[in-house]
Formats: sequence, structure tokens, C-alpha cells
Amino acid sequence: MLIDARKLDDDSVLQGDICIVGAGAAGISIALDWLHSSSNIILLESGGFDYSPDVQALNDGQTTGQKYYPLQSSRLRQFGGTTALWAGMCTQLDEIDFKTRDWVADSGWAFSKSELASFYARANEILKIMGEQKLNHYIVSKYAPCSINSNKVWNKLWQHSKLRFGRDYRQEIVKAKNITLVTHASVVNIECNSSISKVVSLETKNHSGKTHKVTSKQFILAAGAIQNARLLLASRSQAKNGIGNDFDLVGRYFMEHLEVDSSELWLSKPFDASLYTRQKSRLIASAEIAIEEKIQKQYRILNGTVSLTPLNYARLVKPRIQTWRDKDPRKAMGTLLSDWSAASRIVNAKDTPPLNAYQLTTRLEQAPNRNSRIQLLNDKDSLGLAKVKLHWQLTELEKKSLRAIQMIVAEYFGEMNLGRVKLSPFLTSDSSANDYGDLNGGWHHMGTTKMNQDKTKGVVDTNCKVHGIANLYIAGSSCFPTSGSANPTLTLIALSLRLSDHLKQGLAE
Amino acid sequence: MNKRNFIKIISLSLFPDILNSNTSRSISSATDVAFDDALEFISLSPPPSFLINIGQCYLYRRPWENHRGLLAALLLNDDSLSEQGASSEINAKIEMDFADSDMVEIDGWLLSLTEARQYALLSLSDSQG
Repeated sequence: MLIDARKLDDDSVLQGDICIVGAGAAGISIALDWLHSSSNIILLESGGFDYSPDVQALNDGQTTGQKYYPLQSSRLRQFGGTTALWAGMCTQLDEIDFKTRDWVADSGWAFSKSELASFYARANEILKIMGEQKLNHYIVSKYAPCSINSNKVWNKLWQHSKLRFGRDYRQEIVKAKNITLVTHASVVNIECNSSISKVVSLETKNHSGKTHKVTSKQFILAAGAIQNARLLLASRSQAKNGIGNDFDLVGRYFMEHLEVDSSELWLSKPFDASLYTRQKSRLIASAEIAIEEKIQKQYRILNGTVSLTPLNYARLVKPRIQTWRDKDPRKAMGTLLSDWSAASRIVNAKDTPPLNAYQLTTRLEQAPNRNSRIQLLNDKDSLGLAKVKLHWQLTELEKKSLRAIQMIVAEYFGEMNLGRVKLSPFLTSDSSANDYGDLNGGWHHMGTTKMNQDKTKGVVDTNCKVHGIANLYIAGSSCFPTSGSANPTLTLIALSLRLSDHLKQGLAE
Repeated sequence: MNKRNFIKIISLSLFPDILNSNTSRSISSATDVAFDDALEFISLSPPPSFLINIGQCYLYRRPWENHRGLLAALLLNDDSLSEQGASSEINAKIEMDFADSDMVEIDGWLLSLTEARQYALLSLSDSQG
């Protein structure tokens, strides 16, 4: 069923068994998991099915610290969420990403990767991608033997999902008898009982000036890492620091993936790099050079992977942090694509064979850092909700890891006598510690409601339930204790399905 | 082995079969100075000023190695080897350096210690005639 909240009577009350806030990858995945069940699911979406400037402006906020994209254009507010313009890159986190590493403060998940195995398989089905075994077979048959193989580095494979949640699941959601999709319903407050141990209702508003209330047995925030934290922090009428924030953890530990041109690889021998280059739109899968776990331990570094881009093209492309400056994501995307197209035209017009050289781009995990955080501003959006400030802060470990990864890759290509690596200027030994060059983020927001079984160390428990609140759960990458270097969508869907199973189990009991 | 031959052998042991003519053409068409530097680095056109510069940078950081005899001894224990044997040994040492993480960073390049010493020796030979 579909309801446009702008057409509902003012002060209407909607009732459900499970209320999901946010119809992006996490929210839709959970809703689909309850399809045809006897439970009444309410799926709240701030936007509609198409882009709306007024709704998108609700994402506006400030950024400080490490240079970042405008918050307004770093996420999409519409049915399907940011998957409307994602690259579709899917891969699992690695085993080490779940482990406690003594050189990475606040690292470690409450469970190992094996806990997510069955949920990764279900997430593959939602994203319409192959399982790992089939993917490996595909890669080996297409590129066999894989070019990179040593005791230091390995091939990490990505699939490129073509799925758009908004386009591909709209009909299924709208037609479902037990799911009520409510568009133009922006949550502005979470109301709890007097002891703040249980959520009673959510208050929603829209640009037609109407206010509604949603009551439910269970509530799931699936609005993205920035908005999940914002909603908890902004619900201050009963708890002065916000909901679930007794230990000042909500909004802290914001993480992104660092994506940066880190070095150049000059080859001395032919090397088939097609599997590793970023001309991924034509491929269903690609690989990046990953660092073996034992080498990460040896160097005491963060997890990261390296991709290759032909250097004659890469040198003509501006860093995304420079081109993605518009608050309107459509214009920002337009500028980005124009830059890429212009570079392609120049390279193609030269009519010369490609250089035997590649730009190495590192995708790096960010270390958990409590000072990297989301906070509320005094300024409010058009629906009266406090805007946010993102302070993105990196540590010395990221810089050290970026540099070490180039060394490890250089060792591999040197040992194989394939070529030599030259560091980007910001990574040379005489660069300053805080210089990150033209560092891009991956538009991956994580960690602001991190998971930990200890309520003094995490906002949600191992089942993604907010500590101290009996019926409030959080779905998505805001629950990640550490980010790994893998794009988060596959894992956040797997984690959301695990949460969904937990709720079903509770219902059965 | 004649010292000049020795230097030639150890200089040419790196990237012996690099760059075909097509690649050279495409690189030299680039305006970026760094491209030209890199071309010199990987093509090893003797006597490459770029390699000599790297060699000088290396010696600036390790002044105690600023001696032809010492560098030659560090590069090759046995100077009675044939030219082919010397080249093979140097190449093996370079690969071993990378395997053992025995690397140096010079002007951003991540090089094996052995090849950096090659360029240092080359720079000394160039300056001393």
C-alpha cells in the first residue's frame, strides 16, 4: 500500500507492528524480508519517488575538519535512497575487519565474519549478484590465472550490482498487502515512555505543513549514518542528550572510506591490468590489490586495497573532492561526469597507445575515532529539525597505513620485476603528517551508532537494539564498529537481515 | 672485471627489456616533466641524468657510502664474475631486497637498496669520469 503523507489529514495516526524509518537499501531490504508476513510494516520515506529539492535540502549541514563533500548532496532523500546514483560496488568485509586489533583502538566486532555468512548470501539475492564461489569461477574463467598472487597481496573481488532499489523494488513494496509505504514523511521526533525505556511513537512532518504520528510495537531507524544519529540526538524533549545517548556516544566514531591517488606504478614488463582498472561500468566484476592479514599485522596498519587507472587518463581527472562541490547532487554528478568525459576525450583524441603506467588509488579503512563525529547545530531545517555538523577527523594511523600499503605493493611489483612505484607527494617521507593530498571520501557514512555489547562503548547491542530502549533498533552502516575497506552496502544489508531475523525470532517466542 | 664494464653491467641490470618504441612515443608526447623523468628512470638511457640525480640523493642521505670502492663491494662480493654472472647476481639481489622489504625512498620512488646503490655508483662514476 502507498500513502502520500501530504494527502493525509493533519494529525493522523498510523499504526503498525514494525515501523521502519528510511526506504533506502537497509530499510527496503528489511521490508522485503517481511513481505507476505502477518505483521503490519510501515515504511516511512522522507521523500517521494523522484528527486525533490525541498526534501533534499533537509540533508543540509556543515562540515569541519578534513575536507568533505556538501552534506546535502552526499545522500539522496527519495525512495531507494542513495542507490539511485551508486556505483553498485559490492564485496564482503574481510575476516580481519571483525577482529580486535591491538594497533587499532576501539576495533573488533561482537562476532566473527562467519556470523554474517548466511546473511551475505541473502543480501546477494537482494542485490542480484553472484555468490562468492560463482564469482571466483567467473573471474578465473575470464581472467585465469589471476595476475596477482603472493604471500603479501591478494585479489579482492568486487561485483557491480546494477540494482536500483527505488526502480527495482517499488512495485513489490507498493503492492504488498502487509507493507504501507508512507512517502513525504520525515521523522522529526522520537517520543518515549516516561522512563525512556521504550519508544511510543514517531512524529513526522512534511512540506504541506502536516504533522502525523506513527505508533508501532517495534521501531527501526534505517535513515543512514548521519540521519540515524541526528534523529537520536535531536529527540531531546525527554532526554537532554538525546535518545540512547547516556554515554555520549551517539554521532561519534563517524567513519568514511579514504579513497586517494596514492602512487604511480611504472611497469617494466607487460602486465594485464584489465581486471584491476576502474573502467568498471563495462564489467560485472573487478579486482583490487588487497593486503594479506598477516602483513597488516606485521606493519600494524589499517585494511586497504589498491586499484589501477591508466595514468594518462588519471592525470587528466580532477579529484572528486574538487568536482563534487554542488549542494544539488544532480549538478555535482553532472560536474563529475563532465570531468571524466573530458579526460576520456583528450586521451582518445591523442591516438597514442596507453602508457605502461598506472595511477594507484588506495581505498582505506578509517580508524575508529571518537572525535570524528556528528553534532547538532542551533540552525534548523525547514521542518524544524536541528541541522548537523560533521567533523571528519583522521588520525596518524591512516597516513601511516596509506604509505605502508604503497610500500607493500612496491615490494610485490619489485619482487616480480614488473615495475616500480612512485609515491604521491603527500605520502613521501618529508610530507607533513596532516597532509592527505586531495583525499576523496567514498560517500560511505559509517559508525555513528556503533555496535558493542557494552552500553558504555556502543549505542546498539549485538542485535542492533539501542541500549536501554526495549523496542528501538538501528539498521545500516551506522552500526559498524569498524569500516573495513569494502564498500558498505552489501554488509549493511546483511546486518539488516540479521536484525530482521532477530525480530522474527522475538515474535515467534 | 674492468670497472667501467662493471658499472655498465650493474646499471643495465634493471629493466633490461623495457619500453617498446610505441610506449616511448606516447610518454614523450606528454608535457608533464615527471613523465619525462619517469621515462628516463625506466628506460635507463645511459648516462641518464635522472638516475644520477637519484644516486646523488641516495648518497646525500647515506654519506658514509660515498665511495666507489665501497659501493662496488656492497653491490657485488665477487668481481671476478663474468658480465652475465654479475648481472644475474645484481638482479637476484634486487628481487631479494624487495622480498625482504629492504627498500629506500628517493624522490618518491620506492627502490630496492641495491638498485639505489647502483645509481649512487653511477653518479660517482659520472662525476669522477
